[in-house]
Order: sequence, then C-alpha cells, then structure tokens
Amino acid sequence: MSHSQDKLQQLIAKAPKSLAPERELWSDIEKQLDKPEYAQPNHWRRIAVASVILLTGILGTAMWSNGVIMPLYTAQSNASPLLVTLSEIKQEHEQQIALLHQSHKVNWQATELGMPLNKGIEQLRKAAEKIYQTLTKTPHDKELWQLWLWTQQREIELLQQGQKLPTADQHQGALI
Amino acid sequence: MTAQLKVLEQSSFNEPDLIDSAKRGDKAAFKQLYLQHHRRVYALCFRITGQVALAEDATQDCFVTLWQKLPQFKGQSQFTTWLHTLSVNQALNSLKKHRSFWSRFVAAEIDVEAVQDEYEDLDKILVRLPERARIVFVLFALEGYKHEEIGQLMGIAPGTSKAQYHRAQKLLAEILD
Repeated sequence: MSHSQDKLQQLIAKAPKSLAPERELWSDIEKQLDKPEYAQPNHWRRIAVASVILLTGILGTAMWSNGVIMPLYTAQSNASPLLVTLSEIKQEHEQQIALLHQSHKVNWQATELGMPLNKGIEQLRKAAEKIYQTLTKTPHDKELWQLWLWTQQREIELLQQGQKLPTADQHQGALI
Repeated sequence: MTAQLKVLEQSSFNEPDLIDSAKRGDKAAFKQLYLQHHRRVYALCFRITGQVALAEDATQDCFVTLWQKLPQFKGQSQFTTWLHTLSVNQALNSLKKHRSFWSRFVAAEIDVEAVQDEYEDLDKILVRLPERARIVFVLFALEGYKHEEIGQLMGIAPGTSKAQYHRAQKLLAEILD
C-alpha cells in the first residue's frame, strides 16, 4: 500500500462522526414544524394562475381564429398569450420583491452572515433571467415554466430568510 | 455551571420517552432529539452535499421530515439507524433538487478555500471530489454501506458504485501525494 493510501486510511479512521453546523438551525426548523406537510401554496397558486391564463389565451386564440372575436388589437399588442402571461408573472414577482425590500429595515446583506445568502440570491436572479430569456423563445416548455416559477419562489424564500438574520456577527456552535 | 447542569439534565433524558413525547406533538422533546442528533445529521449532509449552505438546508429538512414521519417510527429498528436512513435520503434529495436547477445554468461552485478553513483533514479534501464519487466514497468508506445499498439509494448499478469508489480513492490519493 502506497504512502498516500496509508494516509487516506488514517484520515478515514480519524474522521469525526459529527460536525457542528456553522449557524444555529433549530429556530428555522421550529418555524416549519407547524406547517402542513408538503404545503407549497405560493408555488402551486402561481402554476394555477398561469394555467388559467394559458387556458384563457388558448380559448381566446381559438375563438379569434374562428372569427368569433374581431381583431381589435394593434401590432404592439400582437404578442402570444403565453408571452403576455410570462411578462405579467415577471412583473408581479418584481413587485413582490420590491415590497419585501421596502418592508425590511435591516441591512442583512452587509453582514457576514448575509453574504452567502446574498450571493445565492444574486446567482438565483441571474439564472432566473436566463430562464426567462429562454422562455420568451420557447414559451411552451412546461418544465422550464416550472423551473422559472421555482426560482422566483426560492428567491422570495431566501429574501425572507435573510430578513431573519442578525445584523451583528453571531457565530453559534463550535467549529470543527 | 448552570449550563453544565443543563447539559447533564438534557443528557439524562431517555430517548424512547423523548420519541414518544415528540410523536404526541411535544416540541420540547423534539428539540432534545434535535440537540442529541443534529451534529451527526449535519456531518452526513455536509459530506454528501459538499456544500455548507446546502448541508444546512438538508439538515433542517431532515428534522422537519423527521417531525412529520415520527409517528411512523414503530421502534422495530434503532432510532439512530432509522434517522440515519432518513438523513441520507434527504441529503440526496436536496442535492438532486439543487442539481436539477443549477446544472442547467450555472457551473457548480464550491468554495474550497472556505471549507478548508472551517473543516479538518478528510473533510477538506472530500469537497474536491466530483459529486458522485464523493457520495459513493462517503457512504461506503465512512458510513459502511454496501455497494448494492448505495446502488439502490442512488439509482445506479452496484458496479458503477464500485467504479466510483475506486475513482474517488484514486483522486484522493493523488490529492494527498
């Protein structure tokens, strides 16, 4: 057995069975204990809203092509119903984010604890924007729709988590 | 001194009693179970996910799931064994959820430097392994799973698990050289 393999066996033998998390996790767990199992109201509500709008769009298009509805709109509003829905949901999400920013009074992004979360939110936004751009080209991709709605939901959750962070540096638990 | 007494008081709790109380909705009893087991669960989640933030999320999800599934625990197996299986599944699920999202758009980013500062020895180098090789290595070498069991957990053939284990060993040996 080579030296490096010996060393690896030693490392495995002395690897601790337990590690202390870098932050306190119980308070977030406790908050989730009263929630009903598998409850994701916002996510499903958004999908439901998107489905209703989609259905309305399809019906509207079908009726218009059959001559039931007279074409009243101009070239500017000549967009696919899915794209309109996409844009509406994006606007609604941006409003929600703006509201969240207005409602919190603590600049948690500037704290050491808030930095990883802030970085995560940044990456999430970048990814959401890429998905959005892709969706504008392929609005019929259901999986992509779900993914996009998920990124929005996750962004809100992360922002809400961020608002619960302390402003001062408060490490809890020993580092291993 | 008061803190020491508190710890002694906590450690004197009988686990089966805590489990029974938690099953009946006693959050204080459930917190005691959390205090007894969260470090072990976190270690497992950290080694499987390879990321601090994801490991924290997975640990929290583990205990929320534990709370929801506790009434299903009938005591046929040891509680620690049951919790261990639940934790492995939860960590793998968290990773899968995370991967299905990120892998499409963003390259995996692991802050190796940060992990190296915070963790010791094996944990410093484990995060440098490719994901699948790391999970197989952790489950086989550290957690004592068989390749057949790992195959079932990860949805891969036992032969693939063996190959990933050897790959992990080789990579770790190279890192240690």
